[in-house]
Amino acid sequence: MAHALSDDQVAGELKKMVAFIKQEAIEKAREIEIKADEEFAIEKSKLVRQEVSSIDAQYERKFKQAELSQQVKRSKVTNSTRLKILAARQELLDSIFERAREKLADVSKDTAGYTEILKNLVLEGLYALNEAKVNVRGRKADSEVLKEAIDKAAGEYKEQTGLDANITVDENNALPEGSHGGVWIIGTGGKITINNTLEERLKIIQSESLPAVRYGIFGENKNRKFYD
Amino acid sequence: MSLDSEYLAEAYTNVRARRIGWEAAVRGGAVTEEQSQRIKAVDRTPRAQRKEVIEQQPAIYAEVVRQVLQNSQEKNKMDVVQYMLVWTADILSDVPSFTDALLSLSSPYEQFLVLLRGSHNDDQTPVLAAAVLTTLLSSSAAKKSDDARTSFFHYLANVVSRDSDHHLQDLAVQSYVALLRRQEAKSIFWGVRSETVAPLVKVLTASATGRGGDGGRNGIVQGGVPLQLLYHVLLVFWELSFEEDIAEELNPEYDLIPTVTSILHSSIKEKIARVCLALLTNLITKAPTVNLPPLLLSSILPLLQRQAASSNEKSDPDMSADRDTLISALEEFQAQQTTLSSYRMEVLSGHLKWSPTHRNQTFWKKYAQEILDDTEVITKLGEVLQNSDDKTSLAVAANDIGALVREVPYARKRWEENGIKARVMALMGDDDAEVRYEALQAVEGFLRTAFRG
Repeated sequence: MAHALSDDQVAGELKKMVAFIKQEAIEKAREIEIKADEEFAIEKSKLVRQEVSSIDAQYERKFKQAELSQQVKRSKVTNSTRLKILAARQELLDSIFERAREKLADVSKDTAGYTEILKNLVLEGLYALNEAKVNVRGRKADSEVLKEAIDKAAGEYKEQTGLDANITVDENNALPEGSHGGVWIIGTGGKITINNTLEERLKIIQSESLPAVRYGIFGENKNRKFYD
Repeated sequence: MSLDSEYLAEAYTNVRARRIGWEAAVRGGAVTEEQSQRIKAVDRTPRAQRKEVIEQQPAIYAEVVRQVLQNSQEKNKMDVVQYMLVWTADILSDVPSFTDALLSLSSPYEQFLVLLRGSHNDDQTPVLAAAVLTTLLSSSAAKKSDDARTSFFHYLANVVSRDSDHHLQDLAVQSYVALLRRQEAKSIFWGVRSETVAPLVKVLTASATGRGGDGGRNGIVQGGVPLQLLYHVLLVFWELSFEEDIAEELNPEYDLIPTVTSILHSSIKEKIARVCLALLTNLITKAPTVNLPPLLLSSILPLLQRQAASSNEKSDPDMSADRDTLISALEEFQAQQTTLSSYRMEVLSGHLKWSPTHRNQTFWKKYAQEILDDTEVITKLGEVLQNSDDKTSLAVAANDIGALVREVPYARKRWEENGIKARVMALMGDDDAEVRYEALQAVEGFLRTAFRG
């Protein structure tokens, strides 16, 4: 530029240049702002997503835990009620058998019948042992009826089998005082014993009749699957 | 954010210089006595004082503005309206809390949207109203404003499509730039893209092909389009490209990449190149599969590499970073290409050129069968043949089909089915000599194989 510029012209040119530079700067600044806003938006949404998914995971975990503990409680309660029911039932059965046991005392009161019973008890022992010589123990109080019963039993035994049976009463080892009756039959010189006391027979009846008693009181068991 | 425009600045100075007779206005019913008092309290006072007064009672002033606008519009006192609009714009830029105050009125945009319609002898009011609306809608406090945004976009799109007035166009696009900073605005904008985006694409294509007209008597132009306008349009696209789904659809729908790359090639000013690079970088980072192939094909890579080599420490670090990202992405992509996949890419882009592959006999021998099995490529070739206006693409497509027919004769039936054979024969009568020649060759290929077994 060969021409000299006047001061005004210089000032004018400077102003124009300043304005131009400012304009360019403003535009670049705006671009930077736009980019910054966008990056912020992206970062924010990423963080939000992350946190949301971690909160979801936490909630999931807590929910599962709560569910689990609820299930545990539920099964505990079910169990305890079941146990209570079983206990109550057992009590009922026990009381039935207790009453039966009490009734046992009356058996020995009916002398005729009791003699018959004793005879049959002894006979049972004889058949089972199948021996010539047999020892019998009874209650002290029964010694009379016992002798009678033994005779009858030996007679019937001879009738049925044709064998002789030598039955002796063991006076020294009587049944304890609390016993309700019945006999012990001992054979082979004391090596085999048959417990045919009334208590023992009651016990046997108890265990054999338990299913029938249960059925009678509680009805059919809905949970049972196998009947063979 | 303030809109930068000579036109607007002029309008503002004019309106500000007017003296409004407030008493007359009160008598005319446009303004109440109280409102007139308030306005006079801050009118023609030094800026600092005005700022203080308004900051103390922003809600009341917001109400004043609204009432005055409503009443004066009803009484058709447009000078009062214009004065209020300019006044509001000034306050909005001075006092940030005023924006919130205005926005917390019920249906804050109503008044201004009405004013956008304007009347036949008054085109200043819409522009002034638009300026205020831009500030309101681009602030972060603007909630539940989707309807307002849509109507505003409508108005702006109208302005943009008026190619005659570049100043107004530029102003409207600047409004776009401000409004599109918000993400909700972007989705709305994209939703009505036939109105909003299409005219913008037109501007870009005009610039790229140099057909922009005289672009206004003064001011720098690129390809006939005024520089500022081009810059702002590019900014709009750059903002849009931050959204992933928009980045995926931009090129397929508007064929943006060739346009942008040619603008980049011929850019005179650094800022144009800067925004172009930023736009392209966004496209390939957000939606690489869609955008990398066309970008590679536009052979922008050599240019970028040259520019990178010649840049020095003084140049813009953001721009260099963008350029480097583009270069590395493109180089990586290029390394992965096999000849067949490059061919495929080229066909699928719809822009076929005379690269060595097309003439190479070994290429055809090797890949003809595979190409024929690739129905996508075949359909696309057929499409290009039917629909393309570009003579080079037509010629190349015809050549390709001829080569395929020669290599794999027994697939002839396929060509007949698609109607491609008929089309090739029709092309024999095309205006362009090259197209005619290639079509002839292709038909010869068909005939040659017709009389074999």
